[in-house]
Amino acid sequence: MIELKKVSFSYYLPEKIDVIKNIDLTINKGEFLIIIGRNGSGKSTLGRLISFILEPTEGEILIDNKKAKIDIDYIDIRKKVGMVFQNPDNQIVSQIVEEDVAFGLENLNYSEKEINERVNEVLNEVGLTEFRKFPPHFLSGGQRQKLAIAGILVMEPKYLVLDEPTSLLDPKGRKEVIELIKKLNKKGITIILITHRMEEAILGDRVLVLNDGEIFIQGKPEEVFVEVEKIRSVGLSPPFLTYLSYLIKKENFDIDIKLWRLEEFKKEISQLKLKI
Amino acid sequence: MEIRRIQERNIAIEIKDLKYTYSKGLPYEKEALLSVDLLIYEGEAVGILGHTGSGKSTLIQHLNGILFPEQGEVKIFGEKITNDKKFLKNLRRIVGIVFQFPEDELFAETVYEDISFGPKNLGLTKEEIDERVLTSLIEVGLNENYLNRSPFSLSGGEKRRVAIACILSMRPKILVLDEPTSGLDPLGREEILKLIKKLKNDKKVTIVLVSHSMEDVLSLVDRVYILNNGKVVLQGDTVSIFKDKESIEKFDLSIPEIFLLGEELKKEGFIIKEPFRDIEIAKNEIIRNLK
Repeated sequence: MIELKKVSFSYYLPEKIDVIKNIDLTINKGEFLIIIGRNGSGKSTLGRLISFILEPTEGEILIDNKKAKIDIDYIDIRKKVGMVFQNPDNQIVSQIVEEDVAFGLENLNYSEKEINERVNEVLNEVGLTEFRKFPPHFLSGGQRQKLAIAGILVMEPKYLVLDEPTSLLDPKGRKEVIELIKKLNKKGITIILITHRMEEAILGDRVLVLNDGEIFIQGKPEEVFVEVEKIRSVGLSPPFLTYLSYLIKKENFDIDIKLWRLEEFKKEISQLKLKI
Repeated sequence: MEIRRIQERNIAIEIKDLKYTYSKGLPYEKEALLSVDLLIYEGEAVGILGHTGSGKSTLIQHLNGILFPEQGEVKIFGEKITNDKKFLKNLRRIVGIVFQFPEDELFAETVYEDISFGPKNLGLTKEEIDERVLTSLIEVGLNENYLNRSPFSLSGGEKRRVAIACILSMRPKILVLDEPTSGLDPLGREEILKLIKKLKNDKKVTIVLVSHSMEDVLSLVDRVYILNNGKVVLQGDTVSIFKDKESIEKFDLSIPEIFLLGEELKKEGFIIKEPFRDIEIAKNEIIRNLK
């Protein structure tokens, strides 16, 4: 469990800019939490607070019921929480795939045997075993992002924060990375996924909408996204079939606003047509 | 008739047998483009698709002389690109490239300074420069209140629009955009798409869009070229490409759900006059069928 208690974060440039304002948030073990919000809403800062890359200017963050401070509990924290960024190339440090995965463990002085075992296991998990001797730039975008994730997984984190991990990827790469994230969550890793893509946002157990440094609404995807006007008032838009059902209802047709699947929506519209 | 009409249009971009190899002669040389042929007419909006590493970025860097062909040629409005300094200066006015995350290229203390940087280098008068700055700013949906603000105080979507205004201030006839909506929130994305549509429809600017977002491609462009391993493997009008499931799968692309919905409703006996390219069209088509 990661708990944020009255957490604020401000920059001084030199005037004070409040990026995160007095947030209380509990992330449960095994949860799949989605964070969405318009550009500049504070999503990435919140992600960096949750992953202990930034320290709150006010309030405190507990991990597994223990207060943690970045400078004191550094190694302990890094074994528990990992973070993956938008651009995998900013996170890949070695010239060979397997060396990149091993990097974290090497720095913790693990034995060669243990490093080898874990690297094997992780490469297998993310599906990059056949590329272990390759330089990372031979990999596709999706594969490079999976390599960045592997570099974190080797530390066996309980919590994984991902900040727009698919936004630079092509459709195939996006799919690969999302499938991997879903698999890791099923295995019990707590996922905190920051995204702009609504088809990813609906995959979570809980969606948190951040606006101007505050929690605007949160709940299950099917509860949050039906609040179409609210969602659009903060620069976001629900998944397109939800938005489309809202637009059709606005023209006085009898249709539910909900998270529709394509097949269901098609049937619903066909039935509406029959009634006329 | 349709074919003749197209033939009468000016050719904006003509690429013949373009080849380019990075680090040629070195042990890690990489053939990025093998032999690319491409034709884009004035006023068209064309998408260039393909997975990461397929050669898209290498290709667009040939459009205003950042890279030069190792073999083959690139013609812009009939003129072959050479590395003659004078020619390149003029070429870069005609072809504006908005690279990925263009807001990273903003550097000045105010929005005015940033947008006026290009026009100043054209040797225009102060009045002409001011006029261009303001027009470009309005074109991207901002106004004069932004002129004295620091670009760094703006939101992501606003920054992106200022960066696009910097390119528009050069009055390009061809606008090349590399992933113009990536990293933007949904409404920021809608705004950028609207802006590009307006440039195409009102200003007749030729648009070249490089994108991984199939939704953007569907809503913006008339035709697409698909690159794979440095070659054009498929081209055609946007709607027929998205109908071609086999090719979409073969080249690791995906069909936007909205487009599928239109096709599915057609099978259910709906009379769909226009393919579902964006939510506005989808709504109108469905409602017409329900009335």
